[in-house]
Amino acid sequence: MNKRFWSVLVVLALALAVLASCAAPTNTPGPTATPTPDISKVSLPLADTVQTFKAFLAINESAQDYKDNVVWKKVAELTNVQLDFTSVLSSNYTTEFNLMLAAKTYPDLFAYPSGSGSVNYTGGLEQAVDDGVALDVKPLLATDAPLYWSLLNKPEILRDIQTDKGYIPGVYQVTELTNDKPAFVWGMMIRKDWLDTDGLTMPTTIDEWHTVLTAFKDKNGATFPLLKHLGDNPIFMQAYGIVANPANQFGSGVGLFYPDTSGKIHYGGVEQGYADYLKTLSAWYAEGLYDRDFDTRGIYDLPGEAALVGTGKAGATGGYLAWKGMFYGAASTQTGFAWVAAPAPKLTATSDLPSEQVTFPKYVSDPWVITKACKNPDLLLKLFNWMCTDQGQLLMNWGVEGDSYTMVNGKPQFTDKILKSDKGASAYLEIYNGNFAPLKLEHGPVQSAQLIDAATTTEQNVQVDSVNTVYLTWQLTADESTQVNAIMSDIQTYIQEQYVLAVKSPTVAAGWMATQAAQIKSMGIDNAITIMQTAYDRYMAKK
Amino acid sequence: MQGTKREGKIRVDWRRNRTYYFLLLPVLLYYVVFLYIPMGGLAMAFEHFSPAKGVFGSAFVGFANFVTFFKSYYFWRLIRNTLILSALGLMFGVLSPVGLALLLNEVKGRLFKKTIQTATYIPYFISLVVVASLIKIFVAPEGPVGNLFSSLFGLDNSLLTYANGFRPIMVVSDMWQMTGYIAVIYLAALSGIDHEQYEAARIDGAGHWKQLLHITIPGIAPTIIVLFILRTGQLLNVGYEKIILLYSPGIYETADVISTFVYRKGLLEFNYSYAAAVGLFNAVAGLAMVLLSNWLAKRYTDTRLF
Amino acid sequence: MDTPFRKESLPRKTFIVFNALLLSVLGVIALIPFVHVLMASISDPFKLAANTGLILWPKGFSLVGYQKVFESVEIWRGYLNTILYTAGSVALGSVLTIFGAYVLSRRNLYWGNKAMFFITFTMIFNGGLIPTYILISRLGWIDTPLAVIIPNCMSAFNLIIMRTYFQTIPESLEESANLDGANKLQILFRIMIPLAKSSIAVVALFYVIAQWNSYFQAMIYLRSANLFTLQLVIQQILLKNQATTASASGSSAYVSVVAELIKYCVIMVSIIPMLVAYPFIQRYFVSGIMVGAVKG
Repeated sequence: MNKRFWSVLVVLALALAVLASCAAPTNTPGPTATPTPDISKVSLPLADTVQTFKAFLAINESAQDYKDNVVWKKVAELTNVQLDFTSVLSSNYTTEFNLMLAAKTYPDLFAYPSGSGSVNYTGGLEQAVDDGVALDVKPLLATDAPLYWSLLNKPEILRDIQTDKGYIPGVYQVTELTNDKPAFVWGMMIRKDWLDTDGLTMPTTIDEWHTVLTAFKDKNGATFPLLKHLGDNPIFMQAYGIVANPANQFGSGVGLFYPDTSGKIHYGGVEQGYADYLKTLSAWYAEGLYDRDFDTRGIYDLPGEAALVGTGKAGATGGYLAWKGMFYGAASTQTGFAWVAAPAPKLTATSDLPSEQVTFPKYVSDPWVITKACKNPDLLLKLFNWMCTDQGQLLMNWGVEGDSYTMVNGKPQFTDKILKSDKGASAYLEIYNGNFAPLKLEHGPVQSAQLIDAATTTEQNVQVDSVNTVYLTWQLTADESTQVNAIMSDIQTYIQEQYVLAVKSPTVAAGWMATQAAQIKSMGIDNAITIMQTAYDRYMAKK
Repeated sequence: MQGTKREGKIRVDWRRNRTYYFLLLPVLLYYVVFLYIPMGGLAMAFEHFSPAKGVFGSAFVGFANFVTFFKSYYFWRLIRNTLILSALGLMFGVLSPVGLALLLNEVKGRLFKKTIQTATYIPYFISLVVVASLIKIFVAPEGPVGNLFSSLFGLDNSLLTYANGFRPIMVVSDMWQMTGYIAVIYLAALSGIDHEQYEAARIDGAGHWKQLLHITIPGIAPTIIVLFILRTGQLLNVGYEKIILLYSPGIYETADVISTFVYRKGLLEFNYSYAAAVGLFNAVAGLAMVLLSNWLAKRYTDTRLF
Repeated sequence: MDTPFRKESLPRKTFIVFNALLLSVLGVIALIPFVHVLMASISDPFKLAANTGLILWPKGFSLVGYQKVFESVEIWRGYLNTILYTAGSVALGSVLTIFGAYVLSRRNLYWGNKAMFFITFTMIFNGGLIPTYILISRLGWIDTPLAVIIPNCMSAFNLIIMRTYFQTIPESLEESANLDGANKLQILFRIMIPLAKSSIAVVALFYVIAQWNSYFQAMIYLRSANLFTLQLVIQQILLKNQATTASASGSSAYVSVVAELIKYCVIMVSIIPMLVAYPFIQRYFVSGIMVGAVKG
């Protein structure tokens, strides 16, 4: 899956998790959370005079500048530690981050997102530590942030955040993913009212989807029965066993490859499954079932897709269920409009569940990295440690008591100001919470329960339960990534282009293995796969 | 002896033209700081550039990045697309404004002339982002132009999805935006032509056509040549910011040019060294073209840029 | 001096009529996109979504798009910033261009051609984004208006245009002034600049447009929302339209249909000031060229 797609997912995950994770710290602690009361007391302020740190962060387009954030102002008041934020739109963050590195004007702290506005330091954060850019905080954690460290110091967490050389290159947010599966995934959404009027049931296989889309076209007059999925993600491709979209425009490095169940690395572009997928898609395209504008549609053109769905021109697309409201909003002229989650299709009724790759760690989410330019990392770590106290957790996750939440029976409960905000509850909450809490823990699920109604949760589960989620966070060394980039440079251009041509022409799709796959092999894909395999094996060997 | 003679000349020149050089100083300073210092950064084309290590600290790899580019699967296609698109741009970008200026020059009614000039010049004022969105709106199947093509030829998709459509779209939209603007420069040159020349020609019995050939066109020829040479310098850049806003992988076959390739490799894939090498190749080729056209102009006409 | 139309020969008459028709068509073609966008921008969002083809008259009527666009404080602040930056940049750029063009138009300078080459060379050869960014940050200009005002304030192209103009001013003028005892600065300020007023106006206008329409500089160098330029704000509004949703779990009624409409409104908002100012600048602009031409 593409990196950017996952980054959006992560941001959403954060948003939800923040919603979710701020919940009552007095609740039954999750498996990763057992705060010990001794170290949980921190005396404030943390510094005698106001200390300022520069922070370089990505913000969601809908979110408010961190500078105006209510919670961070409160943090500064309470602790005397003030963060001077540079907030970059996540769509620009990748570029800005690389320019920042190039100019060597390091802040004290920067975000290292893997989702929206994802960045990738060549060689990973381990290399960043070796290059003198990032600080290895591990030696400091036990003394400066004992509370945080007590939560972090668990094998299943350390495995994901500790580098090969044993560094911990940043402050990670500890989340809790309930039930061992994500709360939501990128999934299919479909016009349920059309299914009903056409007398069809929810499609679960590729063939059933074909029937449904044909009906949408013939009986409901849809001109774009199936839209290109938002985020260019491979929901249909997964049915053919291809877990990462090789033609992903924003994909790079590990994001383009995937391991199978036996741990062997694959590149989709040379797989028979991908050729079969293209054959199906090009047939659908020729029949007028697949998005005829797929090659020019913006990757995240949600308003555009919502408008097509809302005006009865399209009947299905892929994306987050949380975006449902957009589709309903656009559909005010459609009577009986029903837009619901659909399971990810399987190849045939008897096939296994398709796998879906998640490229962020299971128990933590993206770190904030302290740089070597930071003069007083101890104080910063003390700040993060304080955020792990009950007081800190409530503030960072729930915002300000009496304003964004109230305590009901000793448990935080969002106020109507948040829940009924016309900006949308999750979006509005970002103005309050700091968007970064070292401890999310069980706040996540609790907040989700308040912010997301039960019906939506049920629908999200339809999508989640239709796939096998695979968590993967492997990383290349600087040398490996240079080699892979050199090989993939032309291949990426080639496949992005040929994929479009194949969907538009069944002849090209039919000849994929003989022509395109052979060409990709001659461009050296096997060498790239070998390098990826080495990196993956190294990751798996790490316990 | 030669040396002292030259030194003497420099000394005299300095004494005589000191004031001029003081005036020129801030201008040169501007160019040194904002254009020549960054040029030093091009050293990364010969390195495995790592942002954290900087230009001076990264590993030197010689011409490796260039070799990768020359061996690239896309090398020849990039060259071809770049040359075709720029040749088209050169042809229409230079000829159409001359044509418009000459036509306008023949108009007697001042109000009419001014109205047309205003109308054709306005598109120049529109920013690239807006122009790109206008193009997308117009060639979409629901848009005015796209709709026309869909009813005439049954093309159901945005015209931007057809590889054959890309070059015409680029040329036509460039003409729409730039013709009126460049024509104004020619009009200025035209109005600079001495009226007495026309009077004299008329007395000699020369008709409008002869006046056009023998007075008007030679009168604006220096302007045409200068603009032409400048245009060759821009040749290999072919307005890539616009292409980036308009193209998609399905039409790379005609739309992908060297500069867009550089943009993708550098800013989307963060392959700085490779992008810098390809960019440097592009810049050197562009430089060669300007020098060539300047040399040709010097050789066959009296006009040159330098 | 000019022959009246009825006394012209038949082929000439045919040409004049044909010419007028052709030019009229060209004029209409140049303007039609604006009409389309203007009419679309005041149409009803739902009718607009259903429309195909050219819009020469609004489909229904609604100002909701404009209302949304103008509700944003950022637009107004963007306007103000753009005006300030443009003023600063154009003033500086014009002065530098006049100095450079004038000096380099003198024929007897020993270093003249070399300096000219030094400048024109940059038109076809430069360092690119990253080195320039590093420079700006070393200067400490990141997130300051200076980064937008200074680095792109002059262009070699405009310098050449003005230099070409200075070259058309007869040398005899300078020589006679010289004989009258005027020094070089006096010649520049008292004779050359007044003579070149029209072409200076032209060049300044080019700078205004370039600066007004540029967004790339602002995008990479400015961080604080209160420094953003109009183009950047517009970019962000378009972006926001696309992304509001990224985190909104279930709100934003009918945003998506209005989003289409907003595109048209944003286009209008960004071009209206130029369209309004243009006739006023243009009068000075065109007549300036003519006066300059007659005197020159």
